[in-house]
Amino acid sequence: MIILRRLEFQEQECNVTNNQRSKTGDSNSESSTPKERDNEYLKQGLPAVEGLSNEFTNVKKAVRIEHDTFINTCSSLASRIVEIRQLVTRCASSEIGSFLKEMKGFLEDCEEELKLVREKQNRTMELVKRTAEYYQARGSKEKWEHPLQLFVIVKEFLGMVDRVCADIIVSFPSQEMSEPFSVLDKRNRFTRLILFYLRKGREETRSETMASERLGEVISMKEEVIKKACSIAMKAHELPEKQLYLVEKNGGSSDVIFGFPGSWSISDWFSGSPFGEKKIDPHPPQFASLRSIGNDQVATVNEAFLTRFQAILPQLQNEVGKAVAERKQIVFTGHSSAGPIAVLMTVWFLENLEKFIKSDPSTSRMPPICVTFGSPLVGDFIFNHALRRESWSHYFIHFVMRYDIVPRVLLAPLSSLEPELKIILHFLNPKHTTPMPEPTEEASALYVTVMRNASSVACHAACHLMGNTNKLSDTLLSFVELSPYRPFGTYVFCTGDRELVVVKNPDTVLQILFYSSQLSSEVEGPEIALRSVKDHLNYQSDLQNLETKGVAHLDNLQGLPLSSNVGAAGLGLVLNNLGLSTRARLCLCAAGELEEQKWRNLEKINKKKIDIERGLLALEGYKTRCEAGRLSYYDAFKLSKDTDDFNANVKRLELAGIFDEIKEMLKRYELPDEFEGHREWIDIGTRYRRIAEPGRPKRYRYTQRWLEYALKISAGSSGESCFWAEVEELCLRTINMGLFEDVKAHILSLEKQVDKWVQDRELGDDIFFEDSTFVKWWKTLPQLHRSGSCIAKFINN
Amino acid sequence: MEHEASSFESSEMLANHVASSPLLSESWRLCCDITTAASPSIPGQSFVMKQVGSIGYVAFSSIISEAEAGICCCNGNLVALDDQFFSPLNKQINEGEEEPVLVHAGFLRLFFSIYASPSFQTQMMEIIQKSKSIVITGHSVRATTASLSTLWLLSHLQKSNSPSLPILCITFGSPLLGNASLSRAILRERWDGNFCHVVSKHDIMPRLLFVPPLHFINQLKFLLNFWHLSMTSPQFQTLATQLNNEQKAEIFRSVMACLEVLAQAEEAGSETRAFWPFGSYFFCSEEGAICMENATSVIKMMHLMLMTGSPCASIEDHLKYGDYIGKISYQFLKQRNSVDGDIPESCYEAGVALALQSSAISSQEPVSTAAKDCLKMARRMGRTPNLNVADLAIKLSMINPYRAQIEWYKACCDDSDEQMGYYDSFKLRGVSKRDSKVNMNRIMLGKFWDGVIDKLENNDLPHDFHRRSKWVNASQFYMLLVEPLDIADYYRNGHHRSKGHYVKHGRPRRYEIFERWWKERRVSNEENNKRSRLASLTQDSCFWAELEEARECLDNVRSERDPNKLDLLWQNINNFEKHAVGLVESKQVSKDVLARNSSYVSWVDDLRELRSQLRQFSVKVPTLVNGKLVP
Repeated sequence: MIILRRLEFQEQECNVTNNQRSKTGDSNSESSTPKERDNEYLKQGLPAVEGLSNEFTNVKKAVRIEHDTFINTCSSLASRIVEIRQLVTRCASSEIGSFLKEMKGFLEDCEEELKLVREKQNRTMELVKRTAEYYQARGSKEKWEHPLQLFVIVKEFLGMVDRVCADIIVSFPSQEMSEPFSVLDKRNRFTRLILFYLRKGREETRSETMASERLGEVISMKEEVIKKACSIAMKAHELPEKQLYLVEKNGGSSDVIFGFPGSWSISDWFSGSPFGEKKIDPHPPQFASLRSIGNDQVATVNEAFLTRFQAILPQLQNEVGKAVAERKQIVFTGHSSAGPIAVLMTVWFLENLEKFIKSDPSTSRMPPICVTFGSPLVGDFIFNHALRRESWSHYFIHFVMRYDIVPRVLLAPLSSLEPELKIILHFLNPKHTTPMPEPTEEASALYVTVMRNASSVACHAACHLMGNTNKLSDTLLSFVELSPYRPFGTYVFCTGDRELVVVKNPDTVLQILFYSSQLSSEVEGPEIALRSVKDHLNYQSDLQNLETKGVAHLDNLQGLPLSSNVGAAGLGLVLNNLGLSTRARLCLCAAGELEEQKWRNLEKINKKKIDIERGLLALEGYKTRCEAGRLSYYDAFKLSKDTDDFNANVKRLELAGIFDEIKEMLKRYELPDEFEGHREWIDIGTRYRRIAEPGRPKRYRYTQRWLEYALKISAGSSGESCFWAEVEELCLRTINMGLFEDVKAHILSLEKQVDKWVQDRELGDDIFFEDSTFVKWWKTLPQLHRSGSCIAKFINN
Repeated sequence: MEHEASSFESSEMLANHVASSPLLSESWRLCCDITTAASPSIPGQSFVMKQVGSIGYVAFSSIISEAEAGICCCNGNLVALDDQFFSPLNKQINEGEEEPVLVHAGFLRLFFSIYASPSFQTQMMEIIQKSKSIVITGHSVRATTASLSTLWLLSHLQKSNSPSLPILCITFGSPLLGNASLSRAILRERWDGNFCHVVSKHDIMPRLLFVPPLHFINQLKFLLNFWHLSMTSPQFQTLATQLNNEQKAEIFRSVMACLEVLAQAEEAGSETRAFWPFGSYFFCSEEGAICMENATSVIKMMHLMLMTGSPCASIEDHLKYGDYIGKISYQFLKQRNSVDGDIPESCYEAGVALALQSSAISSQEPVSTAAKDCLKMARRMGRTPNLNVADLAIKLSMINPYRAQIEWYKACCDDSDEQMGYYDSFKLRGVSKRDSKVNMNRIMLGKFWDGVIDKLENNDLPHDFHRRSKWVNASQFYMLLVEPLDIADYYRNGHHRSKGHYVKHGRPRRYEIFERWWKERRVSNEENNKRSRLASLTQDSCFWAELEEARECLDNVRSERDPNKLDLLWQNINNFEKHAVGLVESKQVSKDVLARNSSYVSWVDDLRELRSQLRQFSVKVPTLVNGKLVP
């Protein structure tokens, strides 16, 4: 296919550039090892391949076209016109008026246009048909129902390419330093992956693909590392009281594993508020990335875990720094309540990675890995949102046994389970040596409480996923407080049999957390309840034969087998082993659908980029024209005298409409989490903000926060477009109060800012025009002040 | 098409959400407690208030005295709600066009008999103070008391402007309470999410009032009696068989017949005097539960479920809520798969199949197809709001240029040499292309916003629509800009002579609604700045209408002889003058009001002239005027 050929071509292109480099004698590339060159190759190739899907957006659009409607549009339009014509002739006999004249003109126009459209349609269909035939000849034997199906196939292929790219990106950085992969190996992997997805697409058999993968490949991590991490996580529990972490560094190995001990006292799990949650303090900005940028909401984490993390961090910092300097792969791990510590450590490390590199450029850029076993939940949905935006989400791997109660326990409020949890934690404590009877009753009580609350959380989420609009669901929220915690990262569920289920979508994980520990019949209640406690300690034994386990992806959730028949095979069997009933599977499908919807939303607003671009160009043109007339753009706007001004105003309104739509979507988290990290949108947003700011509605704050966050600068400092707002306010104050001294400090700081902005080219020269509001106002200031001002030089020129 | 995007059936999911909360079982427990404890003769004991955690529960006894039962049975007619207690519900939208809000007379009296007891009100106020949220609950006939108490409390809280206290009304086997207008009024106030009516699969009580009143008063009495006896002394249940099988069968038949007619009639409008459901319905069976809110689907579902029952079961089911609730509130523990074996491929069909299973309608039964259609209809109705609001946003951005043109028109008028302001220019407009274009835009914008309100009132928009700042701001801006034009048109065409003045008789309803939205929005501090220059738009959009009224007063003053009426006229004039001067001083009017030739300025001139005339006159004949008319 053309696309494949394009791929080949792009690969060649990359090769050529590589060769050229070496030929021109670029010292860098000559000295570069084959590995680095390979990285280079991947780096250049990937965007090109990724770009494919952008280039084919039209194809994606075309998929949505209903074939029959498309074919019939013209004829139905034509028949409508005939009807109108009849009506017109009938009217013509009775009355004469401008309506008729107008209508006739309109009809003629219509017919003309229709003729053109029909011609174009025919030509297009001809083209499509020919293309389709071309592929059919060499491809499959079956005939497509209609020619437009070509687009469907291409779209599916593009989807696969995207996925491959994502996978490569995931596996790329973490393997960067690992020796065993040679250049050839990597290239093979790339081709293999593509071939593999192609085959998958063609055959559509899930069971086969399932068996052919190993966990290490899926989550791009070596099985030995996982096993080692698990043993260290368990060993860490036995550390003496004072020692807060365990380091495992094998001289020859490329990994350094940090393990943390868990705590078994209830105060280290819950503190204060019903769910022990606490908003992250934005000042001082530890965890500055853990927030939603445009909405300006900070994430919530469990306070008890945060406190423990802060206690451990100072001791650990140096050790981590050393490991980074040695260019080691850093792994943080923890079991039970140590899981959250490992998670927070990893986030801290990721936030400070840049700093490490800055202080010592020779350090590796290698991101850390976080592996947890039976970890309780840590943060809320903003936590997850932020990690996904930063593309850090895939560094976190959580192992969860099917029935383990601990990963679910934070879905219930402390008040509902305190006495039972105390006893269960005591039972689970590995340091506790005296034998203790199995806490059957407490386990049952805990199980029921946790499940009830998990059900509330999961059902509420599912109502949202399924698009339920009943207000009752919201009313309930004020009666039954729901846990704020949500899963994030990659979850690996161990069914207890020979499979592992890998899930990345956090909504799906939440549903599985609830549904997978449901009972299949009432009688097994007490047994499962006890198991839900004991399973918490079984990670090491279960993961012993990791290599032999089958791995199932739960990523593509559409077309999930819904029926839970006994005789199911393949994915159906895995879902059965995980205890997912038909209802559960419907919830999973809904989660998948929502994710899809988010991407569709993104696609929709990406399409509007052209409109925005056009609007911005128009406004920028208007601004230049205003400047030519020596009237500041902003002032011209306020006067709105000419048609030109009017049109600019309309353009501004149109743009505002689009940005309002984006803002609303962001507010409701209806766009992919990654959106606010897209550089392109940040740029467009900034341009828009600079050009269209009279007044200051919320949408500007959104785009301003995007930029501030992207540049890692403090809030409010890129307020060059609030300039006018500021000037207006100062005008008011000087006029109202008349006393210069009162506002002097304010004016001075504004002048300083202006100076900086002008030097940074963030403000245009137009503000210094004779007629601009700013200059007019500035000239009313006392002479004494003006002569000493730092911006006098601009105005007097 | 993308417009039917949601491919999931969620009525069951919502029911699961309700069922996994402790609210249902807690409510039922309290209902049972008070029922066994209460003695029916003392009205003060027919309710209990109790706090569980931070939630305050108010439960009513299921047992009513014989006299009260008589009241219920004999007063089956519909009466209007008392304005003193339920004022928000009586705010009619299109007066005259719509039936007033009516409720069952007997149930209303029952409510007032409890409300009148002083302990009820004091305890109620107490529990409101103490609790973070309130659940009001009741079973059987008293369930209507719970609904009415909730409506009263919601009205009370709205009136007293207290911070929003979440209130949920949970009824068990409640008979219908009011007409379709009541249901609409509740929707309009956005209170429908506060009601959850638990209805068991076959229970006849919630369906009983679909039969026209007066149809079987006696049988109703027997029924109530039978239920009461069974509740108070279950051991004598065998004795309490005053109702023979034939009577049961007759009741069952007539309810069924009426339901059938209703279920067939798709549109709500056909039978206006009938009782109509409101709020969400939680249908439960031994298999599970589903939850739906669309009234038409609720009626259909009631019909279909009853069809699978028998006369005996339909009467006994009224007493079985305890069993159902007990079962449903532990359902979350169990995996629930389809029993039918083969599950449809599509997610939506599979969801429907499961929902039917939860409502204990097996796929073999003949009603299952109809039930499926019913669920589908409910989904379609529920799904649309979000799509509609997205559509509206696009339409709004398309209509914005029209608004911008009017803005431009205003600016032109402000700057023109005629110095009339856009209100007067528009009122005196000629036939120029520009004027007719502005008029056209005005009409287009009006149509758009009327459409928005229509959609909102048909519940086609999200319930927080009127709180979304985008829409509040857009509507307010529209109102300030365009309402003066509407007023100008009104007076230009002389409607004030035929219909009366604009503010009282001619103001399109949309403006009143927008004004309410604007008042109800959350105001942040930054907006309270003092103005230093004239507003770009006059902040009182009815300013011009008030001016027209004042002008009429001024005209009448000259000819009026009756001193009382004259007094009134002067009072009106002075009031307006004060108001207008206040606006001008706080710079809340726009430039056009103060334009040289605007009708406000000329009115002020006229007033001044008249006063000076009067003063001269009063100097000449001081005794006659008594100095009273000259301020």
